[in-house]
Amino acid sequence: MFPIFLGVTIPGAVRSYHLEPVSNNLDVELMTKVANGDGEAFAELVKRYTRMLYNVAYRYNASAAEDLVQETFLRAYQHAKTFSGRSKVSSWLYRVCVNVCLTYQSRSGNPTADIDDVNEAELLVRDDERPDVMAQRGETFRALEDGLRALPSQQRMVFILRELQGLSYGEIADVLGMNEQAARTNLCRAKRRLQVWLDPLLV
Amino acid sequence: MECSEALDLLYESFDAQITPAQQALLNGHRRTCFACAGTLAKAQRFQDLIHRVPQLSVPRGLEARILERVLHKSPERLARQATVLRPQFSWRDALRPAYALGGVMAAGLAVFFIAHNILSANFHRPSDETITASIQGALQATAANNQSRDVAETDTPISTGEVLRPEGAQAAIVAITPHLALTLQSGSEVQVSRLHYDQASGAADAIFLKLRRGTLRINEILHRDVSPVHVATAQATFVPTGTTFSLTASQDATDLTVTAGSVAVHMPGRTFSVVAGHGAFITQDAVIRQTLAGNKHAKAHIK
Repeated sequence: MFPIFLGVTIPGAVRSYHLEPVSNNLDVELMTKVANGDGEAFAELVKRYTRMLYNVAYRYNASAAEDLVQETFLRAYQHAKTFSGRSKVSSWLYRVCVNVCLTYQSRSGNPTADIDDVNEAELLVRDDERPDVMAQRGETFRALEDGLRALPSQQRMVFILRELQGLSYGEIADVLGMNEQAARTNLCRAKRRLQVWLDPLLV
Repeated sequence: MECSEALDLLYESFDAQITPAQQALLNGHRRTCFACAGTLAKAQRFQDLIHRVPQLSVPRGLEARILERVLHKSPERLARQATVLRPQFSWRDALRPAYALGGVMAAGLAVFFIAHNILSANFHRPSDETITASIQGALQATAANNQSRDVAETDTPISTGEVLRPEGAQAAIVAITPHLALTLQSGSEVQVSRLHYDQASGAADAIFLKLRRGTLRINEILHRDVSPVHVATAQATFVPTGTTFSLTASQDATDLTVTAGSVAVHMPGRTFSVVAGHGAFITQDAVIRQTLAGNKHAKAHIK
């Protein structure tokens, strides 16, 4: 089988993500069965989507990631009948997951601080760290995760869905209930803040 | 063009979201504006970094726990049920008496084994709520029903709800896996608030501890993406990532020292990270962060 290229491939603009199953017809069939209480179909859905949702939940809130994923699947099971088939199953699950994350954030009374509030203190700690040493210890990604969790919720979620999960702006707009321009604006703001946060490591 | 506009255009160019005219504007700005050349170069490095962020693997046993929670059934039971629900014909009916006889025999064997295990003093079967740990030194373990036992220099099961206290003036080491050891200093008190043990892999999936008082040192060698260890004190929750760190807790403050790796600190209103060679003194009102090589750079960050 030879690959078929459609349109122009722009270096850096096309990335491959492997977290989202591609066979959507099967997904819709599974959802229909889940809506009718089919446990086996639900188990298959869990098998297909746990990793995708866990990555979103972990980047959003590492300490509660597992609970958030469990809650997402619980709600998906309870509300499977509301899946209309107009969107992809993955988008629908993303939307459930996002709602679970945002609800958790508001109910836990533990909103993360705005990155600007803690930037000075964080940079104080990082000043003595040579970037190459941090990179050797694999802490570059941890620093990114720390910065991510300090972003406002909307910006954080847009960044996760676009940059780490590879969703299109249209899908993000659908999942988060915002227009595409708002998604772009949120992404730019998130990147600006994260770039400042990671400045010592980008030398 | 403003430098900030150039940065936004650059971000959008990574997504191939800009028009040729905008690209030309951006290129022109990059050629002529030396002020933001460094920022734009860092934006490119930042984008490269984002592309290298690895996808996380799922913690062991998570799928099973989801099924357990949502369907109240284990995957094995679900598979069995699925088999039962499929259309069956005469073989099933024909073998029903044999199934019944097998069931009676299995029940009898189960009763025998349970009785045997209760009578066997040294028997221990790990469960989802119990982990076998190797104890160096001596400690007292008090269960949720207030029954206490003394443990010294041996392997012992530790269960959810137990409170561990070192005995005497010596520290006690609780080695949970070859990669994870807790050192309880004399006078400390640690409650095991949640445990989960994946019997298939033999790994600890979740170890949630509450440091009630005293000093706890944790040595964890990173062996997977997500640390199973969470330590809570009255002020914050600490999640290490392949690290060595110690906590000293009282009711009013927690003193964190990180000697390897890093520790994520989650507290009401903020989340931050403390990396190796640094520490933090955390009270309800303030976080004072300091380098370990003297306090010259110490600085208070008042909430």
